[in-house]
Amino acid sequence: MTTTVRLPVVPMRLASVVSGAVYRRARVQPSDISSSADIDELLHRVAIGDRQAFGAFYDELSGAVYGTALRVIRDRAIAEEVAQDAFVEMWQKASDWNPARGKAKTWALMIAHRRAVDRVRREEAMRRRHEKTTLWSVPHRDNTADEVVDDDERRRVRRGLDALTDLQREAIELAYFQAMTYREVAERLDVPLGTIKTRMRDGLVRLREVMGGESL
Amino acid sequence: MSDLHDFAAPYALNALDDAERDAFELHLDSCSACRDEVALLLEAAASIGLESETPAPASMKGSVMERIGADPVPARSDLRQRFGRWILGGAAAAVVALAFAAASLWLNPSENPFQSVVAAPDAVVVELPATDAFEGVAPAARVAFSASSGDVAVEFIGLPDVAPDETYEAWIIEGGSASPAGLFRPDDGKAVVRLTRTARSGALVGVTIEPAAGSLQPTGEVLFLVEL
Repeated sequence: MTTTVRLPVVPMRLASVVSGAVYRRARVQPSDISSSADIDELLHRVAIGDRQAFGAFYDELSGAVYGTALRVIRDRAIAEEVAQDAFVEMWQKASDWNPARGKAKTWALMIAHRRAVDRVRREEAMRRRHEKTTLWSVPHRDNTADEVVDDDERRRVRRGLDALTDLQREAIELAYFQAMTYREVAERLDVPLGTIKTRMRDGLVRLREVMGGESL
Repeated sequence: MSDLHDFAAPYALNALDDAERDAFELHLDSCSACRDEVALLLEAAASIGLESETPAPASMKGSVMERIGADPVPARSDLRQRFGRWILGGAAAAVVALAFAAASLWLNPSENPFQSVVAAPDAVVVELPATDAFEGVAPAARVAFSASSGDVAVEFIGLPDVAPDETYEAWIIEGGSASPAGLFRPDDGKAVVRLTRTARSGALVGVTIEPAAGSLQPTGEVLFLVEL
């Protein structure tokens, strides 16, 4: 019996092998986010190194990723830096994405928000160290006025959160927008840790009820 | 850390400190209830981000694309790319089928895990092409797959032995991540393996050589690869 069968190697274009799907039309408006399934499909292709798919993935999510970073960081230049880093991380970690654990869009925004939060905390820590050693206080954020997001923009994101009770909203906003840990939130509001975690959970569950069908 | 389960909401909001986040992510690997909860809560948290949508600076895309273009693909993602790169055409199918026809691996077909998968009404058998990672030898392999049960079995002939501190490891690659699907060593060049996890249509089945205990993520060169 001979087993010396030599198989010809025929490299094929990845996109045509992994998926026959065609890109959706270019998007028209910033808010025109495609269905989650399309973005999931794109991320599958990004995971095997498809740069063209990554470009489309970027187009779908750049507004949400940048907006999330901006909302937390409140400085356009730093927000752009963080959003860029977040996209590069998505490119590098696309193969870690597990669709069973969440949609691509959710995964992307988790990465963007985490990076924004980490950035704010790092700057806070530096600021505290600086204060300690110099005895004088540096401004919390030294942005010039026109780089700071105005209140109108900030108010715009309140729609979904308005469905929450004041206590739930307060706990979630301090964490999500102010980059506080739940311990810091509990300290700030002077309530037990368990209470804060419950408010966060109940608030998120409620948020999902009111927004779930809309954008996700 | 008795209340790790309570960390789902703070985790979804990125409101854990680094140590808690690491502990909870470890916990997630073993707690399906928390995984489900986190999936749900993360969606809610993401909706806050979606509502914050703001057009990104026009120059940002160029910067990002430049960075990923200049970026050598990192090790773990690289795996997928390598897997993808070596997907073969079906040209060799007939040749391999002949080789298998000549190889009577199992005297009693009922004991053969490959045949038991083939027995499924919707079973398909596809060739599992070797990449040109093999030098001087030309092993052949084929995969039996039942889409309804997700069962996968693989049969090899002409498979070279591995070193005592190494093993072959099969992988199922779905949704961008590779999962270990069984370790095996050939006996006289032959091996029949029922994969330890199920797969969906469109998944990739791959094989690498790994340290004897197996790996959680492929580290060796891709030796076989096919799409189900």
